[in-house]
Amino acid sequence: MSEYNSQGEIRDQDTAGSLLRHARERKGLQVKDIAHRLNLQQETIQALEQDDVNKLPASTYVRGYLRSYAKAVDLNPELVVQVYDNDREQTEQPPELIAEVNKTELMHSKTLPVKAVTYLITFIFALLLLAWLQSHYVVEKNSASDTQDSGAVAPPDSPTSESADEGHVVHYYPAYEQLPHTEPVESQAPDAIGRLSDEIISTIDLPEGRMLSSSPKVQRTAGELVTVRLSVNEESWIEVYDAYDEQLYMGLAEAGEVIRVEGTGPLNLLLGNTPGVSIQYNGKEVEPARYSSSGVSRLILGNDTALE
Amino acid sequence: MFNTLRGLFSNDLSIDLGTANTLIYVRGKGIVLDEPSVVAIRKGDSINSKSICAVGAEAKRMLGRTPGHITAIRPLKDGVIADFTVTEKMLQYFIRRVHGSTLFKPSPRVLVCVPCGSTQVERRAIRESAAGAGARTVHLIEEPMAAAIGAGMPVSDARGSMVLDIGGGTTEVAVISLNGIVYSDSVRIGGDRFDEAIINYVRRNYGSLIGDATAERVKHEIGCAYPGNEVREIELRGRNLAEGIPRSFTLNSNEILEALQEPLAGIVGAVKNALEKTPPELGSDVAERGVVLTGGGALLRDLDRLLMEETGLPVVVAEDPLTCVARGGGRYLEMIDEYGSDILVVE
Repeated sequence: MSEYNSQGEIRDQDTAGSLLRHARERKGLQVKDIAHRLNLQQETIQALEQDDVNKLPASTYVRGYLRSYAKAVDLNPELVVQVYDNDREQTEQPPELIAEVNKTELMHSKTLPVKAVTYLITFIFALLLLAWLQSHYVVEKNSASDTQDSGAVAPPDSPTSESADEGHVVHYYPAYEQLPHTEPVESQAPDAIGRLSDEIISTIDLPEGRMLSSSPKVQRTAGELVTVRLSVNEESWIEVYDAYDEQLYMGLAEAGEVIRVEGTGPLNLLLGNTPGVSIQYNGKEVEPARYSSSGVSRLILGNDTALE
Repeated sequence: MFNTLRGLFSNDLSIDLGTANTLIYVRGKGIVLDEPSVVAIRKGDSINSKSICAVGAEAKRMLGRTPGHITAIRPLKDGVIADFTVTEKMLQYFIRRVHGSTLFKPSPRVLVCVPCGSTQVERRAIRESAAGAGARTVHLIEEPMAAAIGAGMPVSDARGSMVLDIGGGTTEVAVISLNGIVYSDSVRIGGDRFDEAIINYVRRNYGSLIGDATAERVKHEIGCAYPGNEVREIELRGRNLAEGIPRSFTLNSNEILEALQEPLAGIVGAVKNALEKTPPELGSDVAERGVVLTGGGALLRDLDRLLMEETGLPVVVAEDPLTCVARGGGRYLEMIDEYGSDILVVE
C-alpha cells in the first residue's frame, strides 16, 4: 500500500487493468513474462489489462488472476480487486457473518425460568390431586350421613334394619342406596332377603366400606334387584358385577357349591368353566348361548334378557 | 401435516458440517453461524449422567485444558461422523441457536455437505444425525460441488472447472461440468494433518511438546507453503521432553514449510492424479482457466503459488474460501426450488 502511494494515488479513471499495466511497464516486464509467471495465456493477460470482460471467464477466476498479477508486480492485491469490483458495480460481496443472531445460552435445569416452570407444574398437579381426593371422599361421607339421617337405608321391616348403624348389612346390599327408584326395590327387598337367609350356602363376603358414592359410569337404566343362582358342578372361576360395575362375587368355586348373588341388574357374569355351572336367573334356567373352547363365557343378565 | 406447519416457522439451512468448523447458512440471511465443531461434555455424579457443557468456540477453548470430569471432543474425524450422538447434540444446539427462541420447535429443511469419498454408511449417519437434530427433510450434497457453487464457478456450463477444497479433515478435488461431478477424489489430508505435522516437527527438532491449539496458531500466523522472501518468526512455549518443564523457543516460517512438506505433497499428488484422470477435453478447459482453491486450507500462505509451480496451471483462491461450501449449499437450496431436486443427484 505504502509503496504504491509513493508512486501515485489512484485516480478515478484508473481501472484494474490500467493499474496493472502501468505497474508492469514500470517493472519493465513483458506480457509474456507475466503470462508465464501466472501460467495463463497471453490473450488472457491482454484482456485483463484492457478490462475486456467478454474475453475473460467468470469473475471468480478474474479476481484470482488479478490478485496473482498484482502480487507479481508488487501491487496490493486487495486494492486492485477493489478497483475491479467498483468498476463492475454488480459485486458479489461475500456474506458477512451476521452478528445479530442471538446467542442463546444453554438452558440448565437450575436456571430460574426452568425452576419456576417445574414448581408451577408440581403445584398444579398437587391442586388437581387435592380436587380429586375431595370429590371422591368428601362427597362419600356426605352421602353416607344423608342416608342415615333420612332413615331410608333399609326397608322398614327388614330384619337387618336395626344393625344398619354398624354399617354391616347396609354394605351387604350396596345396591340399595344407589337405586334411582327406591319403591320397587323396597317392595322386593323383604322378599329377597327372606329368600336369602334360606338359600345362601356359600357366604359372599363383600369388602367393607364400599359406598358407591361416585357416580356410576355405566348409565344402565334398569336398577332392578335381580337374583342369580349358580350351581357349580365342576370347579370354576366366577366373577359377578352389578350394574354399577361393583364386584359382587369373585373367586374359585368348588364343585358342589351353590352361589346365590343379588344385585342391581343387569348383572355381568364371567364364568371360567361354563359347562360346569348351571345358572338360574330369577328362578329361571339360563343356557349360555356361546362360550369359548376353553369354557370361558361372559354374560349379561338383566331385564329378563340373557345376552352374551 | 404438523411438520409442514412447523416448516412455515423455520428457515432453510445449509450446513457445512466440517471436521474443524461448522458453518450454517440461512437462506435469505447469509452465514449466521461459524463455530468450531467441538463439544465439551460434563460427566455427572452417577455413571451415565452426561450433560453438554459447552459447544463451539467456548468448547474449543477447553480442548486440551479440561479437568477429569469434562471432556472436550471433536465429534467429526476426516469429514465424517466419529461420534454419532454428540454430533446430533451439536447440530441440535446449532440449529436451535440459529433459530433463536421461537414458539415452535424449529423444523427446518436442511442441506448437509458430505465429503465425496464418504461411504453410504457415513452418509446415512450424517442424514440421521441431522434428522435427529430436528430437520424436516435432509438433502445431501457433495462438498466439492457445494464449494464450486459457492465460489461462483460456472458449474452449469459445458466446460470443465476444477475445484480443490481443503478442509479440516479431508481435501477434495473434483472436476465439474454441466452440474455434475466428472471426476472426484478425496484424500484424508487437511488442516488437522498440518497441525499434526507441526507438532511432530517441534517434537523432533526441539524436543518439546506443543498442543493442537498452539500448532494451529503457528500455522495461522507463520505457516506457508512456498518459500517466500520474508521470514516470519513466532515465539512458543512447550514442555521440554527431556527436562519436563515448559521452555520457550522460536520457530520461523521456513521451518514450518519444511514441517508441512509431507501433507502438502499429498495434496499436490491428489491434484496431479485428478488431472491425469480427467478426460482430455475437460483437462484443457481446466488448464486454460485454472484450479479454484476453497476451504480453510486455501488460506495457507502461498499455497496457490506452490500448486501453480507444481502443476503448471493457473491457480485461483476463491473469495472468502472458508464459507464457500456453506454458501454453495444455500445456493443449491434455491436451485432446488427453481428447478426441482433432481438437478444434482447425490446419494
